[in-house]
Amino acid sequence: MQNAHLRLGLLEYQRATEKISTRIRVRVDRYVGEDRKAHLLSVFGNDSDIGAITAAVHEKATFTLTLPDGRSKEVSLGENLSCYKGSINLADRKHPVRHLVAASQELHANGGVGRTILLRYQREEAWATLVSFLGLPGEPTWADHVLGVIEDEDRVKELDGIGCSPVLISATTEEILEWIGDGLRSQTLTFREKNGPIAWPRYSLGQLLRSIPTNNIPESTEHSAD
Amino acid sequence: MRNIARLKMGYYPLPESEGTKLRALLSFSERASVIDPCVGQGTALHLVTGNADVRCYGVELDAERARLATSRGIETTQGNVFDAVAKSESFSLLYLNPPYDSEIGSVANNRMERLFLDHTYRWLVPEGILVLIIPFERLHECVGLLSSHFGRLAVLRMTDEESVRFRQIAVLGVRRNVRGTVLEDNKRILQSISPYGSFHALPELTPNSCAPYAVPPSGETSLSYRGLPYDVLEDLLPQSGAWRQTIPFLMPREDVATGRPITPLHGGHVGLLCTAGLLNGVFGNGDERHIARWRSVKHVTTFVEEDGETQIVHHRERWTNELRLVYADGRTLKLTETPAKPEGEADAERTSEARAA
Repeated sequence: MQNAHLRLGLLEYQRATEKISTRIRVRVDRYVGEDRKAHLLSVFGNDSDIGAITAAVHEKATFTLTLPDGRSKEVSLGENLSCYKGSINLADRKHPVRHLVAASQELHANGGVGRTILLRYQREEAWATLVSFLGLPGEPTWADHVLGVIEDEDRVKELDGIGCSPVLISATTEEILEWIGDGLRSQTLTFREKNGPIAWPRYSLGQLLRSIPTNNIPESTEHSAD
Repeated sequence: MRNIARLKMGYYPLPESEGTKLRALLSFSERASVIDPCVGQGTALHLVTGNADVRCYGVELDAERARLATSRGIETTQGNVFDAVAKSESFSLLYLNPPYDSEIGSVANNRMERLFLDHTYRWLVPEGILVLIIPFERLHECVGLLSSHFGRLAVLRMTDEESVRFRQIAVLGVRRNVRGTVLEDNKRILQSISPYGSFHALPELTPNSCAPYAVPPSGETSLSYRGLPYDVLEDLLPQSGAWRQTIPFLMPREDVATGRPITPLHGGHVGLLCTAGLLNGVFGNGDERHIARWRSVKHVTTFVEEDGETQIVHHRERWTNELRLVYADGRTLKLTETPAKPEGEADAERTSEARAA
């Protein structure tokens, strides 16, 4: 797509000691965060910049993040984070562009303690992810009912994002099982006729990352309960 | 910058009438290289150099506008002007109409007008001509650079309706190394105009506002771009190896074993397949019809060992399997090796697929 600079964020790291002052700025193509807590950070730049940012991330440093709309905030990934590195080769450049994805401890254990973070909210995808991460017995056709209940309960919260429209779904396995049980008892949900394995729709990360950020949360769930 | 201006990426083209007036103040004798670092669609550069024998160069941030400028015969580099590099003293005319904004930084928030001028004035050959279009209120920020690097400065008020709205002025000058009393005079004159002077007291920009500025000749040159190609990178980044490693905690994983085994499975096989999550699905008949789902769960046992006055806290981790069942009549069941937790206690930690592997 064109004019990527309008969609990218800027991550700035500053550190000043008695003798040395360091200031590094790299571009952010994906970010997921909740207030000052960053859950996912994807940045790219040259060798030295990405090396320095990696070191700073491991030192639990605080960064200044500038969002594409110009707002700035201080963010940190916290403890026990994970870093993943990659590189992109460009035809007219000798050195590859370095890429770093850093994930917070909470995102690495996504779905644990009833908090599931999604890069975008679409009911079918969200249901498949909840089933996989929370270990739920379910059918793909139940997505609308279960996610409908989750939305009615105001359990979907929008998170800060760059290059994606992330949400946090707060629901434990037990709660969702209870909603499924209610649905089966009221015959809103039904089992399919044949026994056997259940085929779930497949999504690739490439498709997810290339999609234009949109949010499909119904308006009523965007506001928290009074 | 206001949001409306942000959407336009600070793109406010020069009114056509003002471009014609500026053209009348420039005289071209021989072939010259001219540059507009905020070229837009190239309209202003063509107006200012109309009918002259020039090689046009430009830099433009917006991809579509850069494409249009290129199609109009301007050698355009698409990207950030601060990542564009040209050889010093290679252009005869610098037409600069920068975005009227401040930079966003935690250290400094300098005005873009000054930053653009600072980055590009060196590209002018000695005696090269500067045409700078800025709001009247921003002149004082450029006084230092203008007075020390330009002579024969003229500050003219633009009169088009749009220009008046933004209180635009045109500053014309000749690239020179200015020192001593001339420098002081330049500074004094410019400072008397802004910020203390009045916009309406400035002489009007007309075709006869001052004697024409002679644009010197210059040879062929080029611009190079050292910045990262963000458009290309945005398309390529999803293929990065770093993203592939995040799949286990960002994407759902569904392992389903299909097909008929060559020989019947014995109990051990079934157990292994179940605990690996490969026998999830719908089972049973009648009232006992259910959906089964297995998952791995990490359990942490904490115990404290007393060693004299010292307490040693041990955390012992182990992995176990858990089976969740939901029956067609609405019953749900959790089968695990450990007893059910008291109400209100946190759920067991989910095993990330990466760690479970």
